[in-house]
Amino acid sequence: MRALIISHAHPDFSVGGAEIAAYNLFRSLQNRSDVDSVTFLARTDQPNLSMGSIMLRRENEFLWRQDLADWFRLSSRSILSMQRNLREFLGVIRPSVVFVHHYAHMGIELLREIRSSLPNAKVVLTLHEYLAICNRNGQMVKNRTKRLCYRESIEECHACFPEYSPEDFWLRKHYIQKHFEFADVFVSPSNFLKDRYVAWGLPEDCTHVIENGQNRAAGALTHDEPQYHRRFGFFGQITEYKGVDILLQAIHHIGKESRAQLHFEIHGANLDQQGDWFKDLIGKLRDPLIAEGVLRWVGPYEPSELSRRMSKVGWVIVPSIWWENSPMVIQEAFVARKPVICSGIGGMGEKVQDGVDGLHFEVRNALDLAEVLCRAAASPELHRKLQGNIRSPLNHDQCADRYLALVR
Amino acid sequence: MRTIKVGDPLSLDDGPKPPTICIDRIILNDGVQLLAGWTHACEISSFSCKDEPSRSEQRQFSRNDVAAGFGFDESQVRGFLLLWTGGSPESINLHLKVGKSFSECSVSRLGATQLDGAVAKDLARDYRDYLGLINNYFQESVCWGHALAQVASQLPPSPESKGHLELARGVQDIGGLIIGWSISGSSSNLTILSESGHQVCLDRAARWNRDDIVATFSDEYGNQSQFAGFLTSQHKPISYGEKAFLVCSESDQMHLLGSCEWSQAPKDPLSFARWAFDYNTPMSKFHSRLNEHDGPLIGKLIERHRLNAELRSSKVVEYGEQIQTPVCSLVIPLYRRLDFMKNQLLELSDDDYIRRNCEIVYVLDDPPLDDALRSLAPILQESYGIPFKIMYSEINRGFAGATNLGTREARAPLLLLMNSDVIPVETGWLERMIEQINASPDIGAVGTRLLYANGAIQHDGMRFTWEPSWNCHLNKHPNTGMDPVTLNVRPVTEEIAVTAACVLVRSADFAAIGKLDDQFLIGDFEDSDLCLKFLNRGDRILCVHSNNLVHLERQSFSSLGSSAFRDKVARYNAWRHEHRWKETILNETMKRR
Repeated sequence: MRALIISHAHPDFSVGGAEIAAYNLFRSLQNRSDVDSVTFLARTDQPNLSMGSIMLRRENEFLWRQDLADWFRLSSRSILSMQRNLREFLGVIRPSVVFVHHYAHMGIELLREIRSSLPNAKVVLTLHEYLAICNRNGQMVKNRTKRLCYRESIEECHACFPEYSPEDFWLRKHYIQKHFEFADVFVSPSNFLKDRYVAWGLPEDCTHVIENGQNRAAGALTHDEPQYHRRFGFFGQITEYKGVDILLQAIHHIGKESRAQLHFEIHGANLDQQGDWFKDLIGKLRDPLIAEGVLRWVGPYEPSELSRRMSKVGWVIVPSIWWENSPMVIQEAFVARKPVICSGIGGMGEKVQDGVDGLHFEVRNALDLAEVLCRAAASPELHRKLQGNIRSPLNHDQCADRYLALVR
Repeated sequence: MRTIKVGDPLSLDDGPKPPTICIDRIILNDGVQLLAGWTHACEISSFSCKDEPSRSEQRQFSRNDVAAGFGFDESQVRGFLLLWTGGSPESINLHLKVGKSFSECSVSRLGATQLDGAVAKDLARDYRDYLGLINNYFQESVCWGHALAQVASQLPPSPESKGHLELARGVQDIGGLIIGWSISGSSSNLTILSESGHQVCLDRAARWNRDDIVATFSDEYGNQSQFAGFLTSQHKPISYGEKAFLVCSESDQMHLLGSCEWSQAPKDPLSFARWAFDYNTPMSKFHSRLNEHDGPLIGKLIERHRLNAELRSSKVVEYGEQIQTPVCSLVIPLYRRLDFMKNQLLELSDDDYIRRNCEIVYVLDDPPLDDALRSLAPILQESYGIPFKIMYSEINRGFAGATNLGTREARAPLLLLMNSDVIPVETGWLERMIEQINASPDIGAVGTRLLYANGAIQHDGMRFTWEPSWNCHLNKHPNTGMDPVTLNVRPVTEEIAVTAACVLVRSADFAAIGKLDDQFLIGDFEDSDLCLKFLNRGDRILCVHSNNLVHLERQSFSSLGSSAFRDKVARYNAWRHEHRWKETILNETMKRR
């Protein structure tokens, strides 16, 4: 078997979940004796590369300079390069299996090109978000009201984006679905996402759920201090969609006396890239808590630092206000053996079972989160019980096994 | 009976100052006769000619010049003017009353002249007080009109009527529209007179209410000041800069109300319509306004525009290796949007039958997109691997013109006329249509069910319904919006008409019936027009209901501007369609009861 993995970014330059998952699959497959060759192709925006060109990065790893021309249709800026550079590349690499971990920034036409160049290869498309379904950053959140979106239809999408007619949305869906037909198998990291895509039109029998693999835990870091059930941590981007403001409001709701016993840490970056209104809101909410001593604003972290930081808290909080798919932070928390407190919807609600390996709260509801936090902090027994139920996520090799099983 | 000749006074007796009659002129014009002269000591009581005239009038007035010249008593001398229509100029007899007795003389035709420029000029000069009367009879004569125009600026204003010519705008060899306002009594006859001599009577004008005129004149004119605005037309050639006069005749006299100069209207039919339709005459009378005024003008402009289009070139470029003996040619005009092509080609390239048996002919009917499509086309061909041809038209021809152009390049015996926004979503649709047309030679056209983007039925065959407020039959799509799955229809039915958004015809038949009519404004009714042409020659029309194609419908229409204008364009097209097809529609509808 000759494998090719295509990713919309290289982890050397970008640390999102999808590219990390793609790269981990690449590394796992490299170690296998039943795979003859593995190649990694990642999109880049490096300006020194000419548009469309494919360039070696290190052995078996290549970068592809590509962009989308049209985010609405997910259409490539340089279809010519699809036809020339990519075809040539595929002709040289000659994979028998192609694992496509994304089409964003590259163009959905990628799938058609792979099929036409390699009529006999197996094409596996992993879906990491709802981009094909939802024009709003793939989030399935209504555009102006920011309410959760439960169902797509051309009329409802038009209501979110009046500048596109319902017919434009029909054309978009048709274009994307026709290109999806060039893939043989679809992989989703969560049942929730799979269900969304099946409702949208993917054939259920070709759509499988495989969790993203995780690193094994560094054993020494899973110790627990006695008070850890009163220590809570948030790890991720400081954005409105990750629900950081909900968490801060919840802490305020707990009341000064009660929260004096508690300890909160917020780890993450990119607050400076958010809108002014959000920065102001976060500032107003967090500054008094920092002054009180109940909140530590720790700041950004490297992926390699994550386990050590997680080891210092008892609970990991994932208060996202949108569906999520399979947030990596939940798997990382489980690797670190930390129960998760999260919004009870979407991918979060699926990966964390309420009362089993974590606790759910009502999405976007700071009061409800406050109650759950109090309950969590109240008893070490609850923490121990939940911790005991945590199952290790798949490691990378187990994940690669499952991928290979699809194409054998 | 004595005979009187022109210019030769006839004395009725031998006395010193005998009763005398003299004919100064006999003027003939196309069934109208004018007899002018004078009498002394007698008068014309009546006249007769070979055939009974349909209308005649006589006027008498003083002729002091004659009295002075002949030494007659002024009170005894009367000038006369006799005008009549119908009745031949042969054997005119004048019945004279001389004192208490009667006499008769016949009028010699020698000296009668046809109304020409010089004659008209003299007439206008000599009968200043009777211009209105004479005009009532000689209105059709261009030389008379021209002569009248020469003196028009010297005419006195009217004591009874008010008016103003706002503009006269047209296209040289076709004619144009005249806009203004007027208030007049019932006995006034208003006309617009052009320097060339053509006249347009205002009683056929389309009228609308002018609040400003009502405000100014209602005190003086009361209700008459309502509906003062007028729009009328001249369907004869004009010259730019030529004067036009708004004149009225009241009791024999002619008065001047206003004047302006003819100016140039847009020659492009759509621009002309955009300008003309801006005059908001009452919509309830729009049909008759089209009949009388804008309709024929726009029609001629469209015709000329189309003829010019025929002469303009187009280039064909082939992309990929074309099928040598296709069974069916898909002819698809492109306008405004190219993105549909990708969706269409994604489907067509996925259809084995079409790949093996059909050729695709696109027609780019949008010159500004020429460059973009020339760059895009080779990429599309590479991407989808299905060959196609593109005809690049130098000018925009409209849906019908573009389709007709495309059929020139089509090589197959069958033609599938298809809109660029019709997207098949399954295979087998074209085979089902072809099967139907091949079943019998008397099948002229085969249409298909089409769905909206949301899955409801968009087209399932067409009907004609009578729209009273438009005075026309309109095309209706029954079952629009219904659920295609649960609607109980046979797989194939016979219809009175089907949409041309996706219709299969034989190439030879299509040429024989004159292809699509490209003279609707912008486009509309081409489909029913096509089907009616087939029905007229005894062919049948079928519709396949077991097909599911999506029609994204009229995405390009919104660029037309205001809905009021779009509405009027639609009404123009309906009017034109009705003119040609009313009888056939009634007959065919009756047959299907």
